[in-house]
This record gives sequence, C-alpha cells and structure tokens, in this order.
Amino acid sequence: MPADVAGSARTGAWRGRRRAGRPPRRITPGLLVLCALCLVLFVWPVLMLAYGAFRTAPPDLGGSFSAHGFLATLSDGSMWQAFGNSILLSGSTVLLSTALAVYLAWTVTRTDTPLRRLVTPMMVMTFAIPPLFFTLSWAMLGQQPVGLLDKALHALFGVAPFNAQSWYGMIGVSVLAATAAEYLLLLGPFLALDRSLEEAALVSGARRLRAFVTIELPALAPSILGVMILGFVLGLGFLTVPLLLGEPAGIYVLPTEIYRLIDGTSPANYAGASTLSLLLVAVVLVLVAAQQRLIGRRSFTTMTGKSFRRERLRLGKARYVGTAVILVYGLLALVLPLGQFVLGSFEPYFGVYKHLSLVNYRTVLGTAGTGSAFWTTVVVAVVAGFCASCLAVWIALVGQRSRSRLRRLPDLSLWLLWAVPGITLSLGIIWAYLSVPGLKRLYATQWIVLLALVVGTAPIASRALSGPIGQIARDLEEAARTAGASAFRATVGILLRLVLPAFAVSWFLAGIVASGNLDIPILLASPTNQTVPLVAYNLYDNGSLAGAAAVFCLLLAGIACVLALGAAVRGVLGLRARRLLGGDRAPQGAGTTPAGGVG
Amino acid sequence: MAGVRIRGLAKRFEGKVVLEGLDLEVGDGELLTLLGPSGCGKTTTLRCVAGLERPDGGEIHIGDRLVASPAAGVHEPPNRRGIGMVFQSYALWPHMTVFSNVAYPLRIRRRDRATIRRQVLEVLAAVGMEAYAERSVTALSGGQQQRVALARALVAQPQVLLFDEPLSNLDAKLRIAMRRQIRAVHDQAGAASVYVTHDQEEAITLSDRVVVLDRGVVQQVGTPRDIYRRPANRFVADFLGFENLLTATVVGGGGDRVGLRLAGAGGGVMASSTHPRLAGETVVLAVRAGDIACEPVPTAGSPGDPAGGLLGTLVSTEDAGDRVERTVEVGGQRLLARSPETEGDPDVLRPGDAVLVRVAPTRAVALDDTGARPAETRPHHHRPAASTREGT
Repeated sequence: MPADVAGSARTGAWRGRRRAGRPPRRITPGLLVLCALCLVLFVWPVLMLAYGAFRTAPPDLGGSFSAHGFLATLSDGSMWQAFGNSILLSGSTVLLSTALAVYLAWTVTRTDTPLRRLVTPMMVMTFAIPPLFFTLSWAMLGQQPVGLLDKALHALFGVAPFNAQSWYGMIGVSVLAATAAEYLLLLGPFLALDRSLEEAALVSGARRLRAFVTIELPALAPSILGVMILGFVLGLGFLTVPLLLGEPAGIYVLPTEIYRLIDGTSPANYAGASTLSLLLVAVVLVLVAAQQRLIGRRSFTTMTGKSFRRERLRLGKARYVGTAVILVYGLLALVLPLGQFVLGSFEPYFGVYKHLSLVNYRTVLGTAGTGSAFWTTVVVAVVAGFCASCLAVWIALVGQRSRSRLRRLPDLSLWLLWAVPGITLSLGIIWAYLSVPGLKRLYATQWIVLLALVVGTAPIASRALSGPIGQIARDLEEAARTAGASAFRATVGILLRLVLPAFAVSWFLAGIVASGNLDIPILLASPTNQTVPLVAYNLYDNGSLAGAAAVFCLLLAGIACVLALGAAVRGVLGLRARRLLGGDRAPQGAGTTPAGGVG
Repeated sequence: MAGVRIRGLAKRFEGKVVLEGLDLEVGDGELLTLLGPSGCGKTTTLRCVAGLERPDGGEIHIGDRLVASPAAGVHEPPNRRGIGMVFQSYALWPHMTVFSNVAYPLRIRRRDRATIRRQVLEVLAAVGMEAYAERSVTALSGGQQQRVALARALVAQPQVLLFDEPLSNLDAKLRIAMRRQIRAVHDQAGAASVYVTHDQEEAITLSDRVVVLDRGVVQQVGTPRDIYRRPANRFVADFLGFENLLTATVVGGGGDRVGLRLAGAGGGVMASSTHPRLAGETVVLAVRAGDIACEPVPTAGSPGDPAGGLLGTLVSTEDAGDRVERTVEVGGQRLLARSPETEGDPDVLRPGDAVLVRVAPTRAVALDDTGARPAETRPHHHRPAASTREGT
C-alpha cells in the first residue's frame, strides 16, 4: 500500500482517488428498486388511510371526497370513549407487565432464586404461542360456570368471582402475553450492563438493594422506558384480546371499533374506520417521536468493561418469593391455558367433562374449509416469513453498505410500520389495492393476505436481522474482493453465507407470527381462503369453543413440529461443522458472530 | 491496626482451582502490587478482599476485623468493609454527574450536605478535576474518567484502597502521568493499597512491594529492585523481561556466587544464586540482553578462565537506532545482546564472525531448572522446557 501512504500526505488527492475507486453516493438501480418497493409496500397503505378517511364510499365503489365521515367520527362521543378505553387498557397492561418483566429479569440475572433457569425458556414459549391462543383459552378458563378455573375455584372456595370477559380479564391476559415480550427485550440490557457499576456502588458502601435502585435501575432506565413505550404502542393496536374478552362485556377499544365499523355496521363505514386508524397512527407517531426526544440522547448503551463472573445476590429464605412468582406465572401463562385447551378439545361440547373423545378433531378435519385453512396457513406463514426476511436482509444491506443519501429511506419506511397496528394495516392495504383498477383482482385472494403478512412481519424480521448483519465486519467482504471475487460473489459467498443462521431465526420468527396473526386475515381473507386463526375465531364466535380448541391444538402441534425440526437441523449442522473444523474453531469464529450472541 | 492480612486463601470457579493457599500481608501505608499474567488469580484475590467474591477457603482480615472466613461462616458484604476501589472499566455511573459520582459514598454514609460538598470538591481538586464537577461523566475522556474514579475511591477516606488494573485502558503517555498521581494519592491517604496489574513496568515503578503470581501460587515477594534484578525462578525472570534463559552447569564457587559453564562455549560466567549449589548441577542462567556485551575475539586470550567470557558465533545484527541488538550462537544456544549505539559500530562484527561474549557478573542470576517455588504443591507447573531463548 505504498501509494496510499504517500497519498495520505496530501489528503485532498487521496480523498479524490478514494471517491473514484469506490463509487460513493451513487444511486444504483438496485437501490432505486428497493426504495420504490418500500414506498409501495410500506408507505402507500398508510397514505391511503388518510385518503380513505375522506371518501364517501368503500374502496371498490368509487364515491367522492368529503370531510363528512371524518368529522362525524371525530365528533362521536363513543369513539372517544373507545379511545380512552384503549389508553386505559394499554397503559395499565404496560405498567403491570413492565414491573413483572423487570422483576423477573432482575431475579434471573442477579439472584440465586431457585428455578430461575426456567424463566427464559418459559418466556420464549409464551412468546411463540400466538396471542389468540391465550385469549381463547382464558376465555374458556374463566367462562362461568363451565371453565376449568371457574370450576376449580368453585370446588375450593364455593365462589368464583373471576370472569375473563371483563376489564380484569382483558388486562390480566394482556399482561401475561406482554410480560414475555418485555422480558425477552429487557434480558439483553440486564446482561449487558457493566457489572462493575453495581460493584462500585457496593464498595462505596451501598447495600445490594440500594445499589440496584440508585445505580442499576437508573442506568437501565432508557432501555426500560423504550420497552414501555413499545409495549404501550403495541397494546394500543392490539385487536385479539379486546375482541374476544372485551366486546362480549360491552367494552370497546379503538381496534375493535375499527373492526366493528367495517364488519359490524351496514353499510360498512370505511371512512370512520380510516379516521380511527389515522388517529391511532398519529398517537403512536407522537409517542415514538417523544421517545426519541426523551432518551435518544441519553443512551447508556456504551456498557464497556470486562465481564467477570459475578456472585449472585443471596436472598436467603426470601428467594422462594421469586420461585413462587415464576411458578404462578408458568401456571397462568402456560400450564392452565394449555391444559384447558387440550382438555377442551376432547370435550364433546365445551364444559361437558364426560365422554371425552376425538369427535372435535374428526369434525374439524372433516370440514373441507378447515383442511384447506391448515394448508393456507402453512403456505402463507412459510412464504411470508421467507419474503419478509429477504426484504429485511436487503434493507439492512443497503442501509449499512450504500453511500447514497437514499439508503435511509427503506429503513425509515420500515419504522413507520411499527406505528401501524395490524388492523389498520389491513385497512390501509384494502384502500391501497382496491383503489387501483388492475390490483383490485387481488382482493379476496390468498395473495393479498400473503402480501399483507409480508408487510406486517417485515419489522420483526428486520429487528432479527439488522443487528447480525451489522456485526459482520466489512473487512470480510473486502478480503473476498481483494482475493478476486466480484461484488456479487463476495456478497453471496461471504456475507449471505454468514447471515444464514440469523436468517433462519428471522424466517422462523416471522413465520410463527404470521401463522398466528388474526388482524390481517380477519379483514382480508375471504371464506374460501381462511387461515387457522380466523377459523378458530369464527368457531369461537359461533359458540363452538371445543372446536376452536381442537383447531388450535393442531396449530400448536404444527409449530412444535417446526421447532423440533429446527432444533434437529441445527444439531446436525452443528455436528457437521464441528467435524469439518476439527478442534480448530477459534480462527473461524474470531471475526464475526453472525448469530449475534451476547457479548 | 489497619492493613490487610490474607491467610490460606482458596478459590475455585466451577471446579477449576484459581487460588490455593495464598498468604499475603499488606501494611498500613504500603502499596503492594499483585503482578502476573491473565488468569494468575490476581484479580480474584483483589475481589475477595473487596468482598465481591466469596473465597472457598482461608481468612481475610482488614485491620483487626475478620471479613471473610468460609470456615467460620463469616462474609462481610463489600459495603461494610470500608474500602475504596478503582475499576478497570472506571465503572462511573453514567446517569450521574462527576460530583454525584464522587459524592455517592458520602451520601451512603449520611454526611451532611456541607461536609459532602467540601470533601467532594477537596478530593476533586486533589486529582485536578474540580473544574468538571457539574459535567456528565460520559462527556469525559478516559484519563479524566479515571481521575473521577480515583476521587470516588478516596472520598470516604477508606483504610484500604484497591486498584484493579486501573491504567490498562489508557494510552502510554497518560499511563505514566496517572501512575504518578496514584502514587501521590496513596502516599497522602496513608492507606494500605493493593494494586493489580500485568504490566511489569507499572509494578516496578509504583510499588513498595511486588507479589508475582502464577496460576494462583505466589512465585516471589520482594521489593521492585529484588524482583527486577534477582528473580526467584524461571517464571519470574521470564515474566520480568529477562531475554536470555540459558541452560548452564555449575563448575564452582560457593554461597551466593557460582561459576557456570555453558556446553560448547569455551569460558564461563559468574552469577549470583539465592542458595549454595553443587558442582555439576544444571541451572538456568538468566541475564538481560542489556547486561551482555560482544567483542571481537582477541588473538591471545585465555578462554579457559570462568570470568573470561563465552565464545560464540554472531548470527545476526539488528540496528535499532539508539542501540544495537546481536544474536549470538553459543554452544548450540542462542542469546541476545544489546549495547548502546556508540559502543558497537554495527560494521565491526559481521554474521559468521567469532565473538567473545561478556556477561556483567553482578547481573547474571543462576536459577533452579524447575518451575515455581512451591513446586511440591503444583508438580505440573513447568514452562515448556526450551533450553534456548531466541532474542528477536
């Protein structure tokens, strides 16, 4: 490199040559295609919501511009009550679940609580089970007078005050589901926090509890606040729990109102639904902006320091408090719902505990629509997960490798999607595709469900992939280039090969989320191409709880099979890799950790 | 009485022995350095003193107080040990200002506001950071952060100061300045200080006494000069930068002076020894490259004389600017000699020339061929038995 060294003396000349050598700021055709794709897939539906709020007719019927629907909706008192209910539901859920998630993360990472090793696998399982599952099984558990919990409480205490179809039921079930997600998001920061911060406090004379409260908690505050805002945002857009547990009790929130305005009123009030969707998106955008302002600059994530095996806090007898919390959570989030589901699926009619049989499974599998729903769900989940992951890889690569100013656009448009909860996204997609003559034909086909699920799961895939892609050092690609590989070959042979493990994780995650999603098919699917969650919901809605349980048991068994298959493949590949590399793994793993292990 | 007393300290991590039977004593006002390679147990020892780690055996006293003894069921938590500690990563709390960081130990001790303000500003002034009191610690440079960490450790006037490789994240120039500051602060505080490092230069310049550790076992305890000039064994010599560790045979002498001969190298060398040795015993001759001189072989010499030097062949010469380094082969072993530039014109001696190698007699040390001193407790402890040490 003598030429470069000489050139660096005259910085200008050196920069000039560099610019010529590696074309910066060049807008490649690929970048343009990606930007256009992102605009069409992610931004256009959101814009069309605004368009729809001012139309007088449903998307496929023409109509004209008018502010009437928009203003009428905003001046309707019941809409504002639904808005208030949304805030109340999401706010109380976030407060309770964050407290629980922080407590559990602390218990797992800092204390000697027995059974703490159970928590993370439990949370992963809870997270992997679709939210519709909880809601359905809790709706069954708390059903008076036939639910399992209801019966048990009656037998024990003679009274059972608990009814899942109530505010308490809604909040309780939401907390169970939200805690798992928040715990998994908080575990990283809890593990990454430089432990000498706490040790310095101890050495300064603080007790453990004081050190935790005055040092660790404030240092983790940005992460916790970020998780809370994300949880609040997701809670505002959550349809399943209020739809199954709130509506029967006469409690309406924004997402159920949006659904009701389209599905439960005649004629469907698309303008009103779009207005509410816009309101929801606006609230979320304000929150995200506030979060960025509040903690964007106060980032304590530069958590350096060597990690040293640390003594766990010995809680003495009090350590069983944590064990009790873990057991109760496991009971409420996994054991009871699963038990109720499996048991319920064998009951001839829900609540009848005698004559258990496979009749529900036979009925479900015998129904033509249900069989095809399984097939549809599998195809949709696999394809949507794959496409979303590919898109996420492309977006991450462009965002991190391109030098053009346009490179931020795909990433930003993806971020916009966090602000568009499932049901509003479905509505936006209806507007976006039905308003264009040629695309109208997509309506009520599998394709539009698939497309919407790709868009809906892309943010999750992006979250799973952008980190690992960022960790792959640019040197590795450059080494391939200097070894004579073309840009394409270096990307495919080196970079994509290293991304592969993370890609598999992302594909799996996105597929799981897609397979359990109700918000999208509930508006977009037609009776001929239903997915499993929709079939289960319809069975529930028609009062066939046992049938819904059977359908869901089959879906869960399917997910479990995929999980087992994934673990087996990983085991086999891992074994082969070890055999290939012999004992000499260190040099290979030295440069990168594509899977994104904890540092 | 303040100070730290450690008796028979033992610690295992997941069955792996990290420390075994470690004894140490740090006097009041003394700065003791634990020196050794990574994994030698020095940081674990420090953390046991701090109470951040629970030992599996032994006792630790701080002053007259027993603070750790698994046998007696005693474990004082770190917050009740009255210590100050400086961490390798600084461990400044990112959500607090410089002032709040330093004030924290005093706030824990419930001092009143005026006292806290006065003492914090005093100690910040002592480390030259009083102008930064209201800054956020994340806005400081590495050196400034380390000063704040030092102030925080000092502010409550602890009896014992602990330093865990505090300078390893700083650049070379800053390290020297901070080293002086740490020494000054220690002298002023009059505390018993334990300082952990893997940098021999830091240990030599900073300490009153140095403890060299390897694999959880004390290799040598002594003053910096002792450690530097008279290593107790092969490990210490190697770790403290003796470039030449040669296999030699004792030919004579008694007490602390012995005459040595290298196979196939003509004459001999005088060296000091910690204990009397028998003729014919095989030892390791440890000598620094700077204490070896090379010269052309005189035509009429008397190479049979032990003090007369060694005969060898010049392998290569490396001109390092202000000094010249020569690799010489002496009876099948290679040694490195370093001389100031003025003394040896690099052109006088050429590779292949026969040379006479003279070793400064007061600087050569004869060491046991085997490894660590408590060899009986750790019989597996050997460095690879390379008889030759090549200089580079």
